[in-house]
Amino acid sequence: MKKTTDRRDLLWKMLLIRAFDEKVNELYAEGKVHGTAHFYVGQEAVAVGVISALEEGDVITGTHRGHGHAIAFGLEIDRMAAELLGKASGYCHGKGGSMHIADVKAGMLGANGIVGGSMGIACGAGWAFKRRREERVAVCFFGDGAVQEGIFNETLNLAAVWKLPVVFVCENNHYAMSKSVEKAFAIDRISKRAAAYGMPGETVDGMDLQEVHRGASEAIERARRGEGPTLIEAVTYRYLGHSKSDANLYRTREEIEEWRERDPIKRFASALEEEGVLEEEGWKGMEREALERIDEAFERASLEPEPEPETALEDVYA
Amino acid sequence: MRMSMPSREISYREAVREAMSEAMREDESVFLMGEDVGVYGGAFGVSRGMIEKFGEERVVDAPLSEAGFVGLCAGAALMGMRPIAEIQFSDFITHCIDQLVNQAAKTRYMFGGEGKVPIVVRTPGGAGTGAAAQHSQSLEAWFVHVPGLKVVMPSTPYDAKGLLHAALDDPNPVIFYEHKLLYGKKGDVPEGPYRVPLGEARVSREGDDVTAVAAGLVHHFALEAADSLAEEGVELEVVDLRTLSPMDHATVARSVEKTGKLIVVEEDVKTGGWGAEVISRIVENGSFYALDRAPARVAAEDVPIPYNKNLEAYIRPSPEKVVDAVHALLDTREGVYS
Amino acid sequence: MARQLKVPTLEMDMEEVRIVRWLVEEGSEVRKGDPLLEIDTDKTSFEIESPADGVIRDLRGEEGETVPVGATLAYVTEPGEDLPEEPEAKPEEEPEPAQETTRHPQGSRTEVPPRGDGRVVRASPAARRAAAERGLPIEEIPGSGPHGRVYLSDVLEMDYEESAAEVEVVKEPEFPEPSAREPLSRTRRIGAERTARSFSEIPHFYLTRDLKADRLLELLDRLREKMEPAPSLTELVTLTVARTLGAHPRLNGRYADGELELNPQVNLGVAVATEEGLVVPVVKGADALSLRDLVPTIKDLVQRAWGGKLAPEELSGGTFTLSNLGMMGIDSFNAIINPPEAAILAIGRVRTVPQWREGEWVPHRVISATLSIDHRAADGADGSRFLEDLQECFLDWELLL
Repeated sequence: MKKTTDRRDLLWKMLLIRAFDEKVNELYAEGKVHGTAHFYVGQEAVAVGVISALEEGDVITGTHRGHGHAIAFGLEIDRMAAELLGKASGYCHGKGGSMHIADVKAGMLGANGIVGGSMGIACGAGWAFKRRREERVAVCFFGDGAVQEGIFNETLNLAAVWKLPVVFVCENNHYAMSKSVEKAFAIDRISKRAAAYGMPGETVDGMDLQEVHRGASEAIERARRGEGPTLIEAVTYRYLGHSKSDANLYRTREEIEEWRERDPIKRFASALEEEGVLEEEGWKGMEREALERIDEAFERASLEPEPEPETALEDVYA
Repeated sequence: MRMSMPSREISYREAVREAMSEAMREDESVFLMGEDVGVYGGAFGVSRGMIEKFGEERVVDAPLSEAGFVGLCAGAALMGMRPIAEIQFSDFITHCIDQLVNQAAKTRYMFGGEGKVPIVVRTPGGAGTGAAAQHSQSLEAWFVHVPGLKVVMPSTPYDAKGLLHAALDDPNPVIFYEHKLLYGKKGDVPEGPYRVPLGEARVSREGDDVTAVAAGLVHHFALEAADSLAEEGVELEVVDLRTLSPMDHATVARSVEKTGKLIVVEEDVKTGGWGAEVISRIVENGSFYALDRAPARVAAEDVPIPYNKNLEAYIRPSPEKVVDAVHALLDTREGVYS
Repeated sequence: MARQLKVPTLEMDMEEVRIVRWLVEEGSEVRKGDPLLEIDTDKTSFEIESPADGVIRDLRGEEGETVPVGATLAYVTEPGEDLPEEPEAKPEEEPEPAQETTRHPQGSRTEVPPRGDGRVVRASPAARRAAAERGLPIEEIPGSGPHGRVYLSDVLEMDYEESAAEVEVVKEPEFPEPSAREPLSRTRRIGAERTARSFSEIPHFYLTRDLKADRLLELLDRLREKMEPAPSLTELVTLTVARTLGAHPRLNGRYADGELELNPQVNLGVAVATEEGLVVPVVKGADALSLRDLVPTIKDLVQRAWGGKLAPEELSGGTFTLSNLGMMGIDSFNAIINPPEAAILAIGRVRTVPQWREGEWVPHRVISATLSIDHRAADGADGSRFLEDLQECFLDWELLL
């Protein structure tokens, strides 16, 4: 992935992510995407903010809510669209789907359908970098739900004890499906847990791209210098349900509206306008372009061929 | 044995809910613990309305900590309670395998016959929903292989309710496999509690030509295939195992003695699947000499479940594949049916 | 991306097709949908179309050749593209056993002992069991399964055929249609019943001896000169038998329910062939009669037998029967005992046979005598002794006096 410091580009990425997930939401309703999908809408600043702090050679692991990380990392929109439509040209040749999108060669070590499922993998990458004396960093994205799984305890401890170059980014969007963080934890801030493992921890405003970027940059540099892992808690929110099947019984419409007022895209766009990098309402034009780009991607993808049935039997073993 | 209580048509999901509710009403120590089972009503709506009836101490929303809360349930069971642990997708059972296999299954044995762990772990398995590799598995064979655990897989609403009651009665840990695609299936279910005994298979369709042994969702595939084959004059005898461990080999053997031909229809992958156990037992005991054809299995290909719908269908069993397998087994040239 | 052109499944139970002719050749450029070759199934002909745009490469299958469904016929590649590697052949559903008689490395392959001619019999367990139960050798049962596999139905059919064959053997041979039907005379009917009963109920055994008859025949010649009416050989033999029997009560008696009933006198029946059948008039107290009285008695009985004028009591009460077929040219025969008697003597014709006497072959005349005995009443020793005595009488007829 290419590191970008172009701030317009960061906005563009966020717009792409939103357009992509909103498009998938539509397609799902129309029955054109099957299975299940988890939308990143509202959380765009976290993926873009963190990943924009990475260098070439760094790797990430994602979650089931993984389109945002993939797009932020630079995966091709067309191939992502193809994968969601189950096409042979998709990243996983139609065999992975939304929750398993990956580009291992590029350093995107996969979205993951298991909560916390990728935390061990991220530590493994960090371990390899350290053993081979490479100045590379692994960023592990996970949610408040993963903090509740046992693997959280084990991987943070390992990373701390062995001083692995891993940055743990907890996207606290307040809900693990219907489980609110208030009901899941006896502490108020997840970042407080960092101390228990002997690593620095910080909470940042996940709706503020620049905040996220700052916090992430520090942590990433720390890791690259060999000083070990950090836990960053990015407080954010997802507007859409946990997944398409979510009836939103566990939260109110008002709550969702409140969070929309702190929308990360709008916020960053305003900041760019103030800096003069973007003209007034300039982001609207970009938004349109993003929507077109996504539409085009899915158009093209829909014409792609289905995978041959026998391919279902391939790639079980190397 | 059907109870002679008034019965009406309800869905599999409602039947499960009914069993849990009746059990909770009867016994204070029964409680349900799982992810999103409370306010959300369960990821598949199985526990809808229950938290309103029984309160949050009996319908407990757990954090995403399968190892933690299943282990907790095992401990509560050891203390005399009767917990129902729900694992949202059966694939996630991997999180709590230690608690089930090394703790719940072995406690009584390791402690010299002291202690019981009457936990019921309910979980929906199986594919066909396009949910891909980590949300579509059929891993029941793993637990059939663990002494100390019982494994149940009802295919009808009637059996679901009766077996859940029986599983709750059972003083041993029981893994209760539901199926995502069966939740909406309707069937006759009597009002009030009743039991379907664990370890008893049911002959759901009689026939003289071929024995088809199945369980769960694919039991219905076998019945569909049977209808299709009947038109050709081949009569399948379909055996719904209902319980995978302990497995009712006697019923299978009786059927094989009659037909001389055996086919197993299972949703899990063929290699190491529970179908191998069905066939091995027949071959090991005297029924081997009743076999007039090599036994066959219709199972999933040995691959993870792919996302693409057509690929998923390609690797999964289906009624058509059962029909094809019966044809191949019979080697259908003219007049070869015994 | 190269596309594989395979023989498609066009009909449900299609297994193979015949290549009729290729419409393209190696290197031909084609567009998706272009017809590439014509094939023939059992039912009809089809054209196979190209699955993609490209160049035909690695064309296989000769015209006229039969290929199975799924076989690769060619590849359609993009210009300059390499041919793809052939994917690993999937394992067959039923791998052909490479060697039956060596143990499979993982064990558990059922060893099938080869037949004498080296061919291995594949049979289902049910078939083997059924064959064993019926005593049918499995190697000889033709199998209807693939590669001659024997199924239960094959064994059951075989068994049916075998037992059906047995049943046929037991069935009576067909008799040609009779040209006429002759009702049996009463005599013959009764005789038929009695002999059938005698033959099946009485355990017969037979002793045969050629009786030297020269001296008896000299006596007969002399008597014929002197007596009126002249005695026949039968009558003379009757006399000797009657006189000799007295010393052999077993042969003159009757077996009845585990006991031997003895008779005080010899009532000798003489078998007479009449038009109505075989008749046996009885000479009561024959052992006490002199020759002078015996001869006319017998002649009278015989005469009246031929005329059908015998009284019932003349036909019953016999204790022994004599039957002579010598005048009919018979050398010897085994007679069926006349129930309820214990024995019957059958004699044949006079025969001149060589005898070794004092260093040379000398002709002498003999009569074959076969004694049929009810083994319940007497045994071989008894019969042998009687025949010995009879022989002595034939030689020293003076004993008769």
